[in-house]
Amino acid sequence: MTFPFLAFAERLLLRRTSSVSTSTADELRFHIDRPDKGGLIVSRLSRLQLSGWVVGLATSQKVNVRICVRDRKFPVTSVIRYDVQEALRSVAIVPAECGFSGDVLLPPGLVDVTVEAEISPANWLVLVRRSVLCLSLERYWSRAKKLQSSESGYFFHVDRPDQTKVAFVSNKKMLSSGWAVDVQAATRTNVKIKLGNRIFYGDPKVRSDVKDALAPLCVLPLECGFERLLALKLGIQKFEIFVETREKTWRSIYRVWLLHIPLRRANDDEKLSYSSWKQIDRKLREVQFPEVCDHIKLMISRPSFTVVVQSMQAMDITTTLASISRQLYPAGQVLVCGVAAEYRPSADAGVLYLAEVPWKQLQGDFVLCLQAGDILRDDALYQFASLINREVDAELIYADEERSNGTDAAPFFKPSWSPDYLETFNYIGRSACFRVEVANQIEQPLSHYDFVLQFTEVAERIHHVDQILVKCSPVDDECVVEANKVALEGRLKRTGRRGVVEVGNESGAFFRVRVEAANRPLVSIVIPTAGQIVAHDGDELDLILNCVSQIREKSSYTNVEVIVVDNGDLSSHQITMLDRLGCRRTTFVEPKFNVAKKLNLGADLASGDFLLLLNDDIEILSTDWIERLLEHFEKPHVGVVGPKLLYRDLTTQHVGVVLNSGNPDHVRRLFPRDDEGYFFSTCGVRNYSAVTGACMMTRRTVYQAVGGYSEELAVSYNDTDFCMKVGELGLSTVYTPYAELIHFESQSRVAKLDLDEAHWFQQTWAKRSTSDNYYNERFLSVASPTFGVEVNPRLL
Amino acid sequence: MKSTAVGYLARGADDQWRESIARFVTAYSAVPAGVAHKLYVILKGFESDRDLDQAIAAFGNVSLTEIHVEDDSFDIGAYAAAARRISEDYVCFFNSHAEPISNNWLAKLLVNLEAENVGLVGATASYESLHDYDPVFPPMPNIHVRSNAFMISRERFCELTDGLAFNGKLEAFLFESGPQSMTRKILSVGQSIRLVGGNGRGYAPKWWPLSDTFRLRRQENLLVADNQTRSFDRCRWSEKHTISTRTWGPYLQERYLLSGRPPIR
Repeated sequence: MTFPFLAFAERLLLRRTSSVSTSTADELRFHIDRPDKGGLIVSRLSRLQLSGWVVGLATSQKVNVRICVRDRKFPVTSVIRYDVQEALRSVAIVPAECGFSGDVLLPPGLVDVTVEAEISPANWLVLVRRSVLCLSLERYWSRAKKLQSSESGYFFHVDRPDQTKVAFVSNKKMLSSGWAVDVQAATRTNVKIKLGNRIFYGDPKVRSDVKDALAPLCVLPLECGFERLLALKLGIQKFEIFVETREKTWRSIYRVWLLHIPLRRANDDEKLSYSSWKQIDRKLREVQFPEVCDHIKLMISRPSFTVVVQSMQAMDITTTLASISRQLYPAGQVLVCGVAAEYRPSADAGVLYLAEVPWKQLQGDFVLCLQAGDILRDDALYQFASLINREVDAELIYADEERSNGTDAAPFFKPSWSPDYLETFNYIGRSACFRVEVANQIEQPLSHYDFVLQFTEVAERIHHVDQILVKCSPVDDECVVEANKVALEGRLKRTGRRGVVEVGNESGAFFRVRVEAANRPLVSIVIPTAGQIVAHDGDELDLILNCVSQIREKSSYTNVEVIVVDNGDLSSHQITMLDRLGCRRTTFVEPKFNVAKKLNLGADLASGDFLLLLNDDIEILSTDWIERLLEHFEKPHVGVVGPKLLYRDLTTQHVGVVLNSGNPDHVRRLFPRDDEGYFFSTCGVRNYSAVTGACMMTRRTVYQAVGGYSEELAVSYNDTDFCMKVGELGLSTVYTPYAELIHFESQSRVAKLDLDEAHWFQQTWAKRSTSDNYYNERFLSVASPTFGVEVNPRLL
Repeated sequence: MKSTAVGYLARGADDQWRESIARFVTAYSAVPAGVAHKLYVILKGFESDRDLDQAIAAFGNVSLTEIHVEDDSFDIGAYAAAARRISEDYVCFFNSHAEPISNNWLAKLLVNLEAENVGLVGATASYESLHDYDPVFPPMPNIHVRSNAFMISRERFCELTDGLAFNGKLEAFLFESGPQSMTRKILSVGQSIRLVGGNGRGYAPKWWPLSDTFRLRRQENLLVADNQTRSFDRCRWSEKHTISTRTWGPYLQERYLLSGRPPIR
């Protein structure tokens, strides 16, 4: 079918583009977005970025593009261009990945830069030729980066910084990295960094590439790299790197002058402090108030809110009542409970005073339970009402809050609905509204925590508003700790679990629920191994034998079967010992490494109701680690449980996994063993998007229901993917700090990134990974995710 | 009380027309509109009577009135032709890929359209510009209500489309986001426009980037979904970032939004 009008539309749409006819009659359409000027381009930098799009109208296929500078060919990266696809929809079916972007390095002087398209295999057509005058001499100054060696057997390379003589640094912090080895001694060499008058030492870093590259010369340790994050002072400072020789002297291998000038862009939100952000947020909300008031008038659903303010006799309720009276969306009813007549403020029109909260007789559609001293944000009720208009059947809506500790107020950016975290402490808190119809069904609560626990055992539709809507006053802990403990004990009874509730810390701010499993099911421990023997504290350590011995000797839970999945290269000694230790063995025979397949192979042999997937580089710290993992499966909603993993120096290696910009990352790595975390994120049980596959427990039926580990993910992402699949079944992933193990994984480990696996994972979980349910990427640190409060730029 | 029509465009020339109609019918039947209305199905581009019959049959028990138009004028042209053949006061047009996803979707659009001085409401809107392809399009922020799902006075829509021909995609694009777009024509006479979220709030253009709707965060506040919003959901995070930035530019940053540079009406 032809459309005569298309020619006109196409001409107009593409009038800034060039058309090329090729010998194969393929017609190309393209546009160079950057640089966007014709004629001679003058560049003060030695790097030039080019971008644009190219489509083949006849083939509808993605066209390969490259950029050439003299004889040098630079590959480009594909860029999604839905705009082009949409614009050309009437002309041709255009692949979305028709955009391109690439950097080229320019030599000083005048040079031709061409953008070329592959019109047939190995047949490249020049689309655009631009003359560029490069004024930068930077590349003359840069010496070629080559492997450097000396007669004495030292090899090294400095990756960062990569300049010589002078380097300009705008960030306050600079990462220096590289590697240095002594091939004669087959060891890494210590690295010293001198920055001005300050001395630093490089931290070990895994460099499998260096180990592999130098394998013909010697067997190097994996940690032969180094890195160090350095804080720079303003101005110019000398930077020098030294390596330590066998004679214990330091030899200089690199030096550069660093010029640090902090630059700040006008709209760079990265630099916003939390307090600055609050001011902006407040202004932004205030200027929207007229529109918000219009919305309130036009709301289709107009829920009525009953606000209950509980107070001890002498507590000041005036600030709380004032904040209620300022609400843009007015409260339907205000009940003040527990305040004697002499403490009642004079101006309290519309406030009903009661001795106790009228549980089971609450009125209105939703109830908020505040404490005297709490301050509702002016639009708090509006935000709840607004969400109710969107989610008409919502039963519980909770928001973020500021928790006051006397003079300070800490922002609490909460996770999405986290049933297991709720048993650590009342994370829902008072910044929440509860549907009255449900609230009136529950038994009279002993405390607010008890109310929340009971309510969430009935409610099914729970929503989270990621805005701070209440500034909460401090709770008189001593009064409520015991009541909260009793509330959790009630929770155990109601949910049919036997166990005890222990206060988590001195202040009683969080709890530990220790459950006795109803029975002692068989746990199948599946351990994939490469049979490695590694250096450990000056000795040799056979990882798999050590791991199995630890299980047998240090675990109080004995109803286990151990399934070892090897690569067929275990020594006869290892085989004999594993047999003696009562292990079942199976061999993974495929030539290409695939840990997902190895785990699935082991899981197929398992006969236990529970699977415990375990790395072999593990040592056990908690003798009851299996019980502590198992206890969570007394709750039917739990799908996966992971423990606290520590490095050899007892800093944290794994205390939960979140998704940052769609990629999994460990939270709060390298913190002390007894770290409390962010609102008990490390010291208490908490829900996360995923836990590490180095040690995770799941039900065998769940493992089978999701098809086990995804075998497309041979190396990376497979553990997070597994947890996400389990999440799709409506089951939660739980981190528990009460099962502690040591994971030998290097502290400075750099994950090997397989781009295909990354792409597969990101595409598979595109919708769910827009933002992490359990980690607020906007207001908590993302590099790395330590839960530090910081304002990040909004990216979506 | 003024009467309301909903016009759903069913285009047989789309490869996926069966899926599109099924999706709309499922959503239309499951999600209450919240206000009495008459449903018109605007049918065009079906290759055979058999296909046409199947398309109508796909609506099952849904009460509808058929409007048949030529498949020569893109979606806006079909809306324009249909608007002249119906009699209701207000008309809400849905393109082939659209589906309501929030309760009381039509009531939410209607109350905002009936608000003082509002001339046009949409379920999605954007600051995106085709300026890079053709300078005739206004640069970012090129505020416009998208044509996938919008509501307007029928009489007004007839005025806006009077004498216009939509022979090519360019004309359809121009009507949506050009210098004389439907949005800009409404604004030029002193009326305002609103983007209506799933929460029922009518967002003035300045606050669109905060609406959690089209290509924003999880798009949780969408009133109506379409192929573009579904495509955004399916994108990898990095692609989402690119698309979101292209759609909203620097206005994603609240500080920039507050500063009002360049100004947004």
